Amino acid sequence: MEVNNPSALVYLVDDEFAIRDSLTLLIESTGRAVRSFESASDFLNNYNHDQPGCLILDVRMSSMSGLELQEELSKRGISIPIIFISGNADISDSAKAFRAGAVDFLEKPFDNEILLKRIEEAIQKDMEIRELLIKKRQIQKRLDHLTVREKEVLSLIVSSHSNKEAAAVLNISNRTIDVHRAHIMEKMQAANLAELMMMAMHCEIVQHGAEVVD
Amino acid sequence: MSKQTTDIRDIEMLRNKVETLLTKHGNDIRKKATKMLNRSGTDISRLSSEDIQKLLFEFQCYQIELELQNEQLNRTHQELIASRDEYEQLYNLSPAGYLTLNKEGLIQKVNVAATHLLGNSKKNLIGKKLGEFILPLDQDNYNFFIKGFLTTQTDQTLILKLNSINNTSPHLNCQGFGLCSCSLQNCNHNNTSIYVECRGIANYNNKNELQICLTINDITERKQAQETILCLNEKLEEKILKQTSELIESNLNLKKKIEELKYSKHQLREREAKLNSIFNASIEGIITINTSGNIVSVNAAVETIFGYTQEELIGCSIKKLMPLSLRNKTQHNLKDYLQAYMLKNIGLIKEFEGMRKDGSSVPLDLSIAEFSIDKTNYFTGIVRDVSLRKHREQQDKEHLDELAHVTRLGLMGEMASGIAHEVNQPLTSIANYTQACLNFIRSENPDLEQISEILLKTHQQALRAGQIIHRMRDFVKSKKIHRTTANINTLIHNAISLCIAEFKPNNIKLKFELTKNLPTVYVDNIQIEQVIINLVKNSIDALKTLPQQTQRQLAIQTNLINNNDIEIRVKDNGPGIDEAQQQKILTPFYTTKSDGMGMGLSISRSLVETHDGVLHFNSKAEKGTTFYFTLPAGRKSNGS
Repeated sequence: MEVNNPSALVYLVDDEFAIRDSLTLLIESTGRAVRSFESASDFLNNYNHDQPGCLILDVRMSSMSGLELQEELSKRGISIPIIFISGNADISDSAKAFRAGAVDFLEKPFDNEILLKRIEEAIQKDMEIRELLIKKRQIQKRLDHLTVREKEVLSLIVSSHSNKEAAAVLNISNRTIDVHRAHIMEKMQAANLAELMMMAMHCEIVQHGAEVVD
Repeated sequence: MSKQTTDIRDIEMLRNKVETLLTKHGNDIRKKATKMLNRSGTDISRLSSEDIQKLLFEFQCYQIELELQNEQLNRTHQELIASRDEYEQLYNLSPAGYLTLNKEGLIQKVNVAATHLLGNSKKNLIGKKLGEFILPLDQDNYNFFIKGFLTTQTDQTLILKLNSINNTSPHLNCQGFGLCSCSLQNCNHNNTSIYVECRGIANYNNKNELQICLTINDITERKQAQETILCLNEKLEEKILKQTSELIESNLNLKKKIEELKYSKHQLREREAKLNSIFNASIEGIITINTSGNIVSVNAAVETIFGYTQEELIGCSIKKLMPLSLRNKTQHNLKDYLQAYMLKNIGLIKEFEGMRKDGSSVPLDLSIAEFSIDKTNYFTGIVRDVSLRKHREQQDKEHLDELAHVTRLGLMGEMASGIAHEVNQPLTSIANYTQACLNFIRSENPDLEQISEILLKTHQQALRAGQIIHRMRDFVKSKKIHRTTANINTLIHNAISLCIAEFKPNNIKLKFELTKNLPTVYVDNIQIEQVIINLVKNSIDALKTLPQQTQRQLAIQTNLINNNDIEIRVKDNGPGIDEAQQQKILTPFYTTKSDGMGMGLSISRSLVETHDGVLHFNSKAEKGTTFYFTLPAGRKSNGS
């Protein structure tokens, strides 16, 4: 069966064997690889951060519940997309899960199509997150090559300051601003201003600039 | 010998004296006659011859007459002498002593017997005072006696003692001596003195002198006999007195006993009357039978209960009141059956079924006592018609069942979401399995073996879901009580399956500590499961109040205790129940929960009690609570 991102892995945590077994079979039947765990701690001990994928998580489990695991992952900076499944849906539980960034909260027994669709979406989301992360790291690397003055100029430019305004702020000549700007474009490997703006947004330099504008 | 001769001489002398006296007397008479004739003045010379002749004839007649008179006189004289001799003889030979005293008390005359009695010869006695021979003790009496004669001259009698030192009387020995045990002191056997009885008369002798004639009789023997008799009498009297007092005492005792008997008889009567009135007024039937099972007595209440009159029952076999089944069973061995039954049930109150005259059965409470009269044993059975109570019990039971059902519905409501979860699990698995199968079938080379394996799992999950639904439906639907033989551990597992969903989300660890191979119980499964669920749910609710990180534990244990009771314990390590609440938690409508009805525990207790068990609990603050209840093992309870 054809799947996007075949390298992605579906993690499954549920303390009920029948659920684990049937879901594994179901997901595997769509061509996805599945790794199941019977407890949250089991999962935490075996999770590989480098492996893209998503997590199907049972809300009610003994020792550590699904929501508690979600919290723990967030604490550890693990941003794997989570699809919650629950035997007896509780509005407060689902609200809590969504607030913490859950992809979905499905009530047992759920529509398999929806689950599979959510799995795909989650994997897609994970892939995107991972791509974004790679991009961000590249930009960061480039940013690291800028001098202090260049960073100041960049910050002003992406905050919609004109050369003139920037020169006035930094109390330097327009000419000097031009030279810095050329260096920045080069170092950041930006083809035009728009591209530079995108990079700045990824690295959250824009916000700072926006604040200045306001 | 000398004495006899002196006697004869005396008599001779006496006769001579009399003859001389008589001759003298004759001469005196002749002189007197002549003198008298001379004095008459008749002169014979002057008389005619005829007259003289006449006179002579008369004289001759007189002479003859005189001679005849003289002859007569002589003869009389002779007779007199003979009589005198005889008298003399009698006087001397008389065993009684004769004494003649003058007025000075000097002895004038004494006979032989008297000399013997006085112990002196006649010679020594004549002219002596009789007083000399009398013991000093009786002197006064004697003196009065003599004086009495002199003044009144009447007959008198006196008993006195003589001093007879030389006495050789054979009467000295007291004949009573050998016969009785009277003391010497009382009887004076060795004393030489003798008792005499003096009887006397005072008269004048021919000389016109006052003289006292006394007869004295030896009455020593009599006296001694009297004394002996007296002594014996005294003894006898003493004895009689003693015996009398003894008799009086025993009489008193007897009287007392009679009184007591009378009293106890009265009491008995009273008691009998009381018992009789109780016997007949009692609303409980009282039936007495002998060991063969024949009815000896019944009271009035028996008629009310069974419909038979007393006459219809007395003498009949007790079988008449037994239900048919028992009648057949005891057809040949009623006596043995009774013996065995009594032995087992004496002193207890047992439920028993009786049969009325109209053939209907009547539920009874029966208590039996045994007693025996004259070595014959009887049994008294007291029966109470409990049909009303039974009816009420039945109603109560129905109410309880109804109530149990209602609370069960409530319980199910509380557990609904948990049960839904429990059902959802297999349903989810089924959906997943079937979808997986579909996906596999649609693949290019479907692995049929894998698919059939998955289908099998699907089947199992469907059954699991069905079971939960089934159990839930039973739990809710069952209104009718149906007791069956059951394994308590199975009941526990069934009950837990309905509330298993409560453990996981509340982070409660459930532990089974069930004893294997327990005897079965005869119970209504649903009601007992309800009790277990109730207790388990209470524990869960208690555990929920513990902080999240605490290890929450709930254990269910089964044990055989006292050999015939099974004990089920539901134990948690929750916060415990405080003292004030402990008093109330078993009462209806008391609850510590915000959404509770307060019926769970009270219903549970009632349900356990209708199964002849008991429900209790132990609780310690901060340590936890254990609820436990018992069920009788392996037997059918009374009610069914």
